[in-house]
Amino acid sequence: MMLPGIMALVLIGTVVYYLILNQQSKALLKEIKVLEARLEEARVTLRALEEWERVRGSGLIWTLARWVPLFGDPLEARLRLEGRILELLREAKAAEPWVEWKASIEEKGTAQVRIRARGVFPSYQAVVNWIKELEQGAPPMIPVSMEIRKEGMRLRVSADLKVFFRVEHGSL
Amino acid sequence: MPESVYIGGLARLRRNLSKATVLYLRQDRLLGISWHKGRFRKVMDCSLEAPHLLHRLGGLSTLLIHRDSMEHKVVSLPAGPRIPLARVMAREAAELLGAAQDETAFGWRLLGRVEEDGTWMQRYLLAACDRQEIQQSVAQIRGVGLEVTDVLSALDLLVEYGTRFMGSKPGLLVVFDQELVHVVFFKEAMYGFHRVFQAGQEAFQEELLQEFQRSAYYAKQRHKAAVEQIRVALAPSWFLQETIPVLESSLQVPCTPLPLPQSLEQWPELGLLNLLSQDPALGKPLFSMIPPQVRRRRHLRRLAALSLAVEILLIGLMGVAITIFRSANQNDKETLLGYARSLQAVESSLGARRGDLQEMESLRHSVMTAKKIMASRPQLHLSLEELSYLVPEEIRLESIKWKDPLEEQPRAAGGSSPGPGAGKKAFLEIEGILQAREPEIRYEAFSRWLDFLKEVFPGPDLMVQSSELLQKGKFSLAVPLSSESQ
Repeated sequence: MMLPGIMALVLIGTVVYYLILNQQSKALLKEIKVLEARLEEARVTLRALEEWERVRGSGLIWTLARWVPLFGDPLEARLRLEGRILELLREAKAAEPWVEWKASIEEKGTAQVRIRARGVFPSYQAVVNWIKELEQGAPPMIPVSMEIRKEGMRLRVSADLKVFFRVEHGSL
Repeated sequence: MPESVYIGGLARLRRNLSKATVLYLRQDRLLGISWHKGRFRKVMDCSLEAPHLLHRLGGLSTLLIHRDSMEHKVVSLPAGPRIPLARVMAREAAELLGAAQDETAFGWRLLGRVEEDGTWMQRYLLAACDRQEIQQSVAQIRGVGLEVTDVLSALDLLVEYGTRFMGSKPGLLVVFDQELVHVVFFKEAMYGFHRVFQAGQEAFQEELLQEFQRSAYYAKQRHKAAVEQIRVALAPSWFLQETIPVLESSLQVPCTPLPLPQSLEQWPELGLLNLLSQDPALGKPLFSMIPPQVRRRRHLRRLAALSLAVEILLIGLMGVAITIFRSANQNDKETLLGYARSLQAVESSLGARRGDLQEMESLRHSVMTAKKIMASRPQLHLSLEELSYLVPEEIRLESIKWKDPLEEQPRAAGGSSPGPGAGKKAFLEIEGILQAREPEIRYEAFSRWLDFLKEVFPGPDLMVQSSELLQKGKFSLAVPLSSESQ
């Protein structure tokens, strides 16, 4: 009668040991998964770095600078961006061209500025072309709001634009 | 129909004697038979104090007992209400032996139903014996490797035999059991009384005749029935040849010998066991007197063996599982080490190129920003161009207003980072004048244009303000911009 009791104890022992091994196995698998994920991530980064090495010399950086221009300092940015808008107003033959530099903010190395532009355009088509140039030109100047009002034969246009850029030195 | 039950009335006995060993304890002499490969053989003939087997044998056995210490009693109980039979029998058995209930081993069989003083009664045959005596006997037998599973009363066997062969006429069943002669009275196939006496004395035949006469007289007196037949089982040849004619003439009743079993000639000393050799099924309905402790212990032993077997099996399975797990864990550990080494190598390589990494990260961020910027362009020029095709000649636009819906949302929610204008819709707010002079024409032209606009911009978003249309020709509209131009 003692033997079944002893065997029961042995059985309990083996079950406990089995459970411990099971736990160990689960912990190991979890650790393996974590390491595997980290390794995969590191490998992806490494591959990306190699890719980066290839891209570094190509025109990507220049292309990027086309959409998010890099200026030496905030003053240069202001002059260049205001100059660009005035140039587009002139190209559209707009009378009374006027540009106002409004609030600007900076986030993660990219600055954003609000510019108000006004002008009196000779035709509706000239307004459409001007907006098209603003939106699709480089750097893109994205309209935030716009008002077109008829003044005799001409159209008075006032638009709020937002422009993204980077500044090499100094801050806004 | 006789009913056999375990002590305590647990369940009907199911015995298959043809596969077991049957032992017969006649006073202190222990005899045994077993069926081996379908043949009957004698396996034991010794005293209870020094039991030994004639053949190598083991397993389960049934013990038939005829000893002076075993007492029998006919118990009558009312037939109607349900009574706690086990408790009543336990009390009767204790009373019969003059011992405590827990020192008594007992069993009972239902004899039948009789009318006593106008009441129907159930009549039982109760057998009782000292429990310790049975336990000792069982222990002695266990010493030779036989496990006693049932303990039966020899009288019970005789009652079963008589019930089958005596018929309905009142009569005496005479069974020769080596040096003993059993005389059992039956009336209407129901047991009446049992007498036993020793054979082998000098004036045995005369004594035997007197005993028959006494039994017949007792039957007449006690059971109010004249003996009408005598049946003789296991009779020796001298009885068949010499005594039967004398007996028939003296008692004036027919005396019929029952068929003799083949084994009787070879082993006459086996006595009642010869009845079982003739018909093993005879032992099936008999009651067992195994004490509950012994039965419980046996049950526990069986349970222990079973649980041991299950435990060993489970331990084996667990052992296999543990072995598999250990080797799997070992492999996992090696894999983990391999991964750790690889990761270390890759990370050290990445560490050396931290500058490149930062530069790449910054570029990635810039690319993402550029993507967002490009995606946030409302393509307003397309909407304005589309509008120019939708305005008929008689309508003159005075002003157009547009505002990025994202800009109208709170700054905190949108932040400064550009993103696609999900949720809110952008509108071109238009003010204009209809140049027709007649109000009806103005109204018609405006309605036509409105229907056209509704086709171009389906849905409920087109908003119209035309309160001054009829008087001054003025109107205002809020035209939803299509998603393509957004």
